Amino acid sequence: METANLNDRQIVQAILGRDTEVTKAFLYGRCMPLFAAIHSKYYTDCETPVELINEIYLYILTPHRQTLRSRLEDFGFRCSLAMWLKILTENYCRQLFARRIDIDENIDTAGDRYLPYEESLTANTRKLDMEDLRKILLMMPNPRYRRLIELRYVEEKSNEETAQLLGMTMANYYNKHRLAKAQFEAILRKEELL
Amino acid sequence: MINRELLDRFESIDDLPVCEELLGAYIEGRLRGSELREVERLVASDEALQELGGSYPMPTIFSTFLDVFYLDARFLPLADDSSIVSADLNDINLPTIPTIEEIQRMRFGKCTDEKAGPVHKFKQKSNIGDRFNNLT
Repeated sequence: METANLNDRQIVQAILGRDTEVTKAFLYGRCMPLFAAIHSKYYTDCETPVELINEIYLYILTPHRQTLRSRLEDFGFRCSLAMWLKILTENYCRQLFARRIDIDENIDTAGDRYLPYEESLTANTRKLDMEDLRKILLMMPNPRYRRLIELRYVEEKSNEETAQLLGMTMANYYNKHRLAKAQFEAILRKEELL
Repeated sequence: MINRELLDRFESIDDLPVCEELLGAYIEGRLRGSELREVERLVASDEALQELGGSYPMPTIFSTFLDVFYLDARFLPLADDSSIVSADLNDINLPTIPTIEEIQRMRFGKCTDEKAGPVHKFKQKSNIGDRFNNLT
């Protein structure tokens, strides 16, 4: 089931109409990364992100005892559905559970704002000998990200060339590049090479 | 299936000074004019709102599994349809959503003055029954 072709109104209608296929594909599929991130940020009593999604699913669909309407029924599309779910879930967890401050704030997988500039990553890559570099690349769990790093920082192709070789649009490339870079750097730091 | 404990938990969640939807619209840059200024003012003075609008990294265990390393407040990481494994989704059983009646029944189990709706209904029923009995 593809939900990328559905707009937020269609998804909301489907969830409210108990369309299990769309509900699962959207909440448990497409939104899994954001629920997983929130799940990992708090000491919830849900063992897995799926359990957290189950709970949020109930939270947004259970009718309020006074208004007799569910939270999802009252969603007015002023923001995206994913954003609403993110804020609602995080507010839910924030009020009920303690935050895993130490784990999350010191984790080695930071986004762009914590990463050195692209040039410094190139410089760091150059410092590694080829054997270390190969080991690091093999430790990258995502082969597509591994290839991106290889092309961009080992073979030193331009961003445009790398995107073309990977068959990506530039928008998709920049998104994947950020993620690949974070994955690569996380491993470098873990191996104390950065 | 929902239970009384979960229902209590849902009802214990306090409203934010700015509702989730409006905060979301603010983060996504969709607000204008006086509404924008008002939300800006509230966000600036409320730590919870600032935190909810923040970004944070994802731990390795999830980022490796999901290919997502950073939960950016403005550009939420959604999985591609192609990366969603339908077999995994098939294993998921959606929880059953309770009806209003079920919720009221759960409330009825432990009613206080504040939650007197179902008790009131029950008493009315009893009175009618008593009247009927008295007629005979």
